[in-house]
Amino acid sequence: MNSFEPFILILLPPIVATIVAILIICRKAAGMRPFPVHTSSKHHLVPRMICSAIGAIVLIAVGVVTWQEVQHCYISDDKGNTIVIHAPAKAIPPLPSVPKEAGPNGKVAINKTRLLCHLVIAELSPPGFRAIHAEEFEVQWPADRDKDFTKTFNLYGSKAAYSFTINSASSCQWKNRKMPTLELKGLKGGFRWERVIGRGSRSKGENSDFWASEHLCGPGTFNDPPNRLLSVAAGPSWNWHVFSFMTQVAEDDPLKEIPLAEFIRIRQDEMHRMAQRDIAMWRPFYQEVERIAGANRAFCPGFSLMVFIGISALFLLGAAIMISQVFSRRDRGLAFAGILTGVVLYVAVLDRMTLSIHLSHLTDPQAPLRDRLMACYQVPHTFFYRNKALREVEIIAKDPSIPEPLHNLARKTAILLKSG
Amino acid sequence: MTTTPFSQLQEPRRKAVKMIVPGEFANSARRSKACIWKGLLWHEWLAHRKLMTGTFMVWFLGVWVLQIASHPFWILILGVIYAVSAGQTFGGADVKEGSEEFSLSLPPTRAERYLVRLTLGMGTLLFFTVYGLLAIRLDLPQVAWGLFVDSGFTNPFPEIDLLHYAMAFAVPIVFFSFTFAGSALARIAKRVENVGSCSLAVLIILAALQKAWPWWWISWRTAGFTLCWALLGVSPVMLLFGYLAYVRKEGVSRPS
Repeated sequence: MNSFEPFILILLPPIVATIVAILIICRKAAGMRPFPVHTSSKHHLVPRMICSAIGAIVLIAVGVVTWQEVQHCYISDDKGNTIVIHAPAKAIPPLPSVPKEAGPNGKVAINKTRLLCHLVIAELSPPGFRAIHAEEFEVQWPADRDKDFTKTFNLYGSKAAYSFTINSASSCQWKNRKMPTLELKGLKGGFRWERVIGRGSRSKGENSDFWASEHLCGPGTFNDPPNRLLSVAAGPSWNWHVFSFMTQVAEDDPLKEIPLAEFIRIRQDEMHRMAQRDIAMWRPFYQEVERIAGANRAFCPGFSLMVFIGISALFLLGAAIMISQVFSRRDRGLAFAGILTGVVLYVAVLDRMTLSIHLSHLTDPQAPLRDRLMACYQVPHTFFYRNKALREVEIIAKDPSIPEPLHNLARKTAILLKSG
Repeated sequence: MTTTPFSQLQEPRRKAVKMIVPGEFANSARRSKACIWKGLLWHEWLAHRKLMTGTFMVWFLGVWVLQIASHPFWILILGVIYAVSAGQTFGGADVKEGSEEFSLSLPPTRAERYLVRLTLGMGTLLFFTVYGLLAIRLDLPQVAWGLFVDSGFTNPFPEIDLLHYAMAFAVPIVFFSFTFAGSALARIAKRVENVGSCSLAVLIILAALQKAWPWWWISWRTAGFTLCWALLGVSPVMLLFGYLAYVRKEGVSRPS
C-alpha cells in the first residue's frame, strides 16, 4: 500500500468538513438566509472557529496516532543481543531441605543467601520469544527483608513500573487432600507489575505470594490489547509476557555477562510453559468478553463500537461537540448529529486503513514470517470490515504453499471471524 | 419647501384599490386561508423548533447512526417523552405565556390555530414513531450502513413480536392527544403542567399493569392488541372533544 494514501484518507474528512463549515459561515455572513442572522453569532465567530479548529485537530491526531500504532506492530527490534544481563558464573548452591520427620507443614528457615532477580519482558512470537526489555536486581537476604525493589522505565512510549518485596525465606513441606506432599524451597514475598499506556489504560499483574526455588519463576502476566490514547486500532502489545526469575547465587560468585537472548534460550521451556498457562488462564475471560460483546453487537451496535474504540471514543465525541460550535446556536443540535455521523464514518475509514495495512503484510509472500503472523493476529480487530477480513484470511488458510504456523493461525482466525 | 396637500397624498392609494367581483371572492378567501395556515405553521415552527430539532437529533443518532437499541421500546420511550412535551408546548403555549386572549384576538380563528398546532405536533410525532418503527422492522439503518461498511452496523436486528411495534405506535399517539387537548383547554398555566404529570402517571400505571397482569384471565398479547385498538379509537375522540371545546373557549390572560 502506498504510504501517501492513508494520510489522504485521514486528512480528507476534516478538511472537507472545515471547508463546508467555512462556506456556510460565509453564506450566513452575506445575509443569504431567509431570516435575519443573529448579531451575537457574528460576535462569537472567533471563539467558535477556534473550538472547531481544536475539534479538527483532535480528529487529525486520532488518525495520526492510529497510523503510528499500526506501524508499531511491525517494528522488528529484537533486543536479545543488545541487552546484556548478569548470570551466575558458578554452580547454584542448593537450598536446605526439610527433614522428613518434620511432617506436612514442616519448615526450615534460610538464614543467609544472595539472590539475583531478573525481570524479562518478551513477546511470544513463534517459534520462540522476542526480547523486549529486561531489568535485574541483586538481593541480600536477610539484609533486604521487606525492602521495596522498584524500577520504572519506558516501554514504546508507555510508562512501566515493576516492584517486588521479599518477606520471608524458608523451605517447607506442603500437603493437601488432593496432592502428594510437595517440598517448596525458597522465599516468600510479592511481585507487582504495572504498565501505564498514555494516561489512560493500564495493564497490571500481581502475585502477593510466591515461592522461590533454584530457578524461581514468578508469574507471567498476559497483557490484554490496550488501545493507546487517541488511537482506534489495537496496539502491538497484546502477546507480551512479563516473567520474573529469581536465582540463588553463591556469595563469592563474580557473575558473568550474557546476552538476553542466551538467557531466554536457557529458560525457553519454562517460559513457554508459563506463557501457555497464562493464555489458558485468561482464555475463558476473553471468551466471556467476546460473548458479551457479541450480544451487545446484536442489541446495541453503538455500545459495541464504543467498546471497540475504547477511551478514544470520549475524544471523538468531544471533537464532534467542538466542531459543531462553528454553527450558530439554533443549528447546533442538527449540526452535531451530522458531524457525529461524519465522525463515525471517519472511524470506519481509519478501521479500513488499519485493515488494509495488516492485510498487505499478511498477503505479502516476501514479508518475514513474524510480520505475517502479527498481521494475522491483528486482522480480527476490525469492527466495520469483518467480512472483508474473513475473505482474505480464508484465501490464506486454503493456500497450501504458506508456512505451517501461519496456515494454522489463519485457520483459527477464520473460525474466530466467522463466529463473531 | 412646498408641502403636498393631504387630499393629493391619499389619491393614488384610492386608485389602487381593486374592486372585488363576486366570482373572485371564493379564490381570494382560499388564498387568505392558505396564507393564514402558512403563517401559523411558520409561527409554530419558529416558536417550537428547538423541541422538534432536538428530538430529531436524538432520534436520528439513536435510530440511524449509533443504533442505540434495536427494540421498539426505545421508540415508545422517545415517542412518549416527545408526545407529552409537544402536547403541552403546542397545546398550551399561549396559556403558559399568559397571552392567549391577545392571540385569539388576531385574525386566525380558534379552529385554524387548533388544527395547525395539531397538524404540526401530530405530524412530527407520527414521523418519529412510524419512520423509526419501520427502520427497526425493515433493518433500514443496516441497509444505509451497508453502503459503506460490511459488518458491525450491518447485523440485522433480532426478531421482535408485533405487539411491541403496535404499542410503540399507539401509546405515544394517545398520550399526545390527551396532553394536547388537555393543555389547549387549560385556563391556567399550572393546569398545563398538571396534564403532563397526569400523562406520566398513566404511563407508570400502564407499565405496572404490564408487570402485574393477571395471566390466568387473558393473555397480555390479546389484551395488548385490544388495548392498542382502544387507544387508537380513543385518540380522535379526545382530539375532537378538544376541538369542539376550544372553538368556544374564552381566551385567558393571566401571567404564568
